[in-house]
Amino acid sequence: MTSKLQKLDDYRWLLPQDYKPGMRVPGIIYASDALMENIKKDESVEQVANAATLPGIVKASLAMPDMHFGYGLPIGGVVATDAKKDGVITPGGVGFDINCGVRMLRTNLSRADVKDKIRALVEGLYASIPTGVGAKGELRLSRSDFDRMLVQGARWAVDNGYGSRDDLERIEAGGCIQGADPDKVSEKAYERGKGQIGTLGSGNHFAEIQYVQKVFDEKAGAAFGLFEGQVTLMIHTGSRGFGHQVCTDYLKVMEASVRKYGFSLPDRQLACAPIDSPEGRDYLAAMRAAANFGFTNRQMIMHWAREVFLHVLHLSPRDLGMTLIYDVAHNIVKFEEHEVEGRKMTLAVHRKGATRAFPPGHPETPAVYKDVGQPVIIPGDMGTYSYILAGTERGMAETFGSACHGAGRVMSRAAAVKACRGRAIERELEDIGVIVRYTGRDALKEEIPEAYKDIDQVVDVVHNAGIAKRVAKLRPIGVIKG
Amino acid sequence: MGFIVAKRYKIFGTTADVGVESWGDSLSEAFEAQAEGMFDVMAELPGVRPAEDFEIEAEGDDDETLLVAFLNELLFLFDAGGVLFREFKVSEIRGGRLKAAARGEKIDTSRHVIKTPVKAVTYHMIKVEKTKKGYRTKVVYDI
Repeated sequence: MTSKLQKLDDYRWLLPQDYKPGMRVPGIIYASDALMENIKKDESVEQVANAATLPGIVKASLAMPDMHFGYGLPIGGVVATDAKKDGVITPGGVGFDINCGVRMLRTNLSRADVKDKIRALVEGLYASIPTGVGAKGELRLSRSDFDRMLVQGARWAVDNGYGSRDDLERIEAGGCIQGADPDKVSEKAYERGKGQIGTLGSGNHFAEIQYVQKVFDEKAGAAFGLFEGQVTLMIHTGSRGFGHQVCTDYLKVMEASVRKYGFSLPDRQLACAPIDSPEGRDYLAAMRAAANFGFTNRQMIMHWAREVFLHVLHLSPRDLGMTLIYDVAHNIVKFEEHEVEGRKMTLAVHRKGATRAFPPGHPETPAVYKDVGQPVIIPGDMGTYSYILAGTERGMAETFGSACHGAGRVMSRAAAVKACRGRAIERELEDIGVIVRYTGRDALKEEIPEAYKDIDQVVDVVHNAGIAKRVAKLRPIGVIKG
Repeated sequence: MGFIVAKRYKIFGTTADVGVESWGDSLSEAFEAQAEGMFDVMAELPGVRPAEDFEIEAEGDDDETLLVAFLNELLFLFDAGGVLFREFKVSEIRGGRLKAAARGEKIDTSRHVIKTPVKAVTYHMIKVEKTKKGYRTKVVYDI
């Protein structure tokens, strides 16, 4: 079936609308020849086609080069639906981990300044940030405070002593998605979420000390406050059990909605509702609450991480200069204005394992980055690299201002664990200069570098296709994981 | 609550996640085995003591949604209450409703070996089917 894929240029592939009955728009996949070989191995191309059947979808069902199989949309999928007409909203286009995302901090330090302190920093982070299963956050909120947090997001965290006002303008949507309604969140979600505020979780989530290995774009690098050899920090986590429960709850609601509105869908995980329907509005209100939980979570973890750096390195905040560069969500649906075929439209942009990448001068690109574009943070995995990119006009025009979100898996967790048999992964990482602390027995093995696509290739496609531009490459030196 | 001599489930991998295939002479047994498989993904089960009893109830429009609802109840108790389950007994499945008992204990990280926590139960490739020998189920979990 994938033989119907047409290669448009070195980085773009067209999945024609007649690939599958019911497709309302074609699919566009961003990939090189080499990445496409891998992409064809799972059902993710089929999922790009399935997403194209969603009512109200505009332009194309898009997929980024890190794409792989997901539930409903592929991971790496971007789908925009018409919010003013017949568009739908689907939890399968956001994923279970609502507002999973990543934030990155700069420091004034060079690698040499922390050479002998990495282990102490890693131990400090591990002690301060609850990690893995059963780890509870230190914070216990009353129900009314919890609800306030859901409505206000990172602003709530700042008001309660976690970080500063300056942080907020460097978070997507200011760290608060408007329109969250705690009443649309189930008791179960509250029960799961109440002990997990300010916890890292497990899976591919991490807090990582890195250094800037290379700055590709001097102007954008300077705007982001980056220089070669500089120590930085990256935090990758989401809305924890709270968000998972919101998604689980609304999948059930959407199953009923599909019958009610008479939608015919090729995949149960794409269950959806009209944006302007009770089901659609309720999901949005709950999804936004979960998104705000995610922003709060990362804000608190960042605050603790800063304290660890100050304490371990005995520096003043001014000397440390550990400030937020940016925080982006990569599992979310948002209302945005875009131009489609010369017409301004309000769209519900679903990004599932895709990062918003707005261009220079866009009203939602922070003022400090208005000349270079919004920072786009791409976490890699602990053995290789991460990247920071910047949004472009071409991305705005082509991909609703979206880029990739990571390297993307190529190996199943079981295969990864098997590949580790007889190997000491912790030691292997130490040999290449990465100190790791983790909780789950298989946490390290499941996330070995060879389980992922080559992030260099993924970022090359995004950069060369012009939908975001490379700014700097980061290399890990210390990692904590769930 | 019988001691399970032979495993009635098999864990398999997808690109990013993990699935469990289970079987049993009855629908109840196949559901029990699926639940055990889900917890086997998450922790070393032999180290978990069946010390505390929990009553589980679930509802669904069909066998698949009922199974997902049952597993979601267990996952909720795991994630919100920190309970690892070891033994499962489904006592009744009738008219889209399920009643079950599950035994386990609170997570003690000094004693329990956590493998891979499950985030959510998905509908992807979900299967509950009658076979010549009994019943078979298949569920993929988001990790």
